[in-house]
Amino acid sequence: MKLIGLRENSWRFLPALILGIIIWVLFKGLDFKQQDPTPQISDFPFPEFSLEDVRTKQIVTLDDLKGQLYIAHVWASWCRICINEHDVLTQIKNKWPYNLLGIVYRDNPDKALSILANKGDPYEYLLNDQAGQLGLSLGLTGTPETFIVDSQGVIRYHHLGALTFLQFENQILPILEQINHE
Amino acid sequence: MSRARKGLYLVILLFCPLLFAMNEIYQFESKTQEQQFYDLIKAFRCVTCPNQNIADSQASVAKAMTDEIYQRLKKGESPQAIQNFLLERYGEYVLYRPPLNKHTWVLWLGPFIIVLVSVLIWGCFFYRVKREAT
Repeated sequence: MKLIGLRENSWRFLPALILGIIIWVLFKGLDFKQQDPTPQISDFPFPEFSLEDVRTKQIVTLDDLKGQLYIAHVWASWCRICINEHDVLTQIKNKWPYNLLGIVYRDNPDKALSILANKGDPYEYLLNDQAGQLGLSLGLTGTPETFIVDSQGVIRYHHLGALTFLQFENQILPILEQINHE
Repeated sequence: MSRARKGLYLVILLFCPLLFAMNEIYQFESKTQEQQFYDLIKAFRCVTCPNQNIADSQASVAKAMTDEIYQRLKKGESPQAIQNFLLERYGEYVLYRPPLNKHTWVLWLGPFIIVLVSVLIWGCFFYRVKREAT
């Protein structure tokens, strides 16, 4: 009788157990840090484009980039985080010889240029993506974002948000060195 | 503040959203095209601010998506082709109504399963209580 009573009592914990499992699953779902909304963008060919360089007004295409490794960085002058991050990019350029491709996203080119005039210009090319079409083709979720593009024009890494010097050294530099050794 | 002035401020406040709405005017060739456009921009998630659709979002990427959808509709692309273009780049994450498949079945069927299990548990519980009472 007591055994049956225990069994009946244990039934009452089942709803609590199920509720506990649901709460745990939902709580795990709150961990956004691990999720890249565009995971498929790595190892994806860099989209074809034909855009004006903000400085030279010359048309640049994907063929101009091929044959060299590029760090492509999407930014805009209206993006406060991008402006704060800019010093990191100039530091990277001063310390390592990698090519930087700037993509000015839906911005007034003159404002972007005035920031570079004040804070330094680390870019080999500075594309004017005024309509944001290259950004869409890249699966951009916001500014700033950084991509590693290998010499074949394939995206090998996609970083969301502002980059710190430490993140560059720990996450991006090893990938660049690995690509260099291939 | 006089009643008339209060009334005036109220009218101005009421029309403020309209002023924002007037920022970008999209012209359409037909009512169907216009309907397709508004259906599409409500169906996609703003990837910068995930709790909004691109119709409501002021984010730059959402505006770029809206412009792209408009341009593609004007070129004669079907809503399905436009959806595929965005899906290819952003994955199912970009859809506010993800399709039912092996990754999303828990999302779609989970609530029904929870209700079913709850009803079963309560059923068993009441059955026992009733049996013990008699």
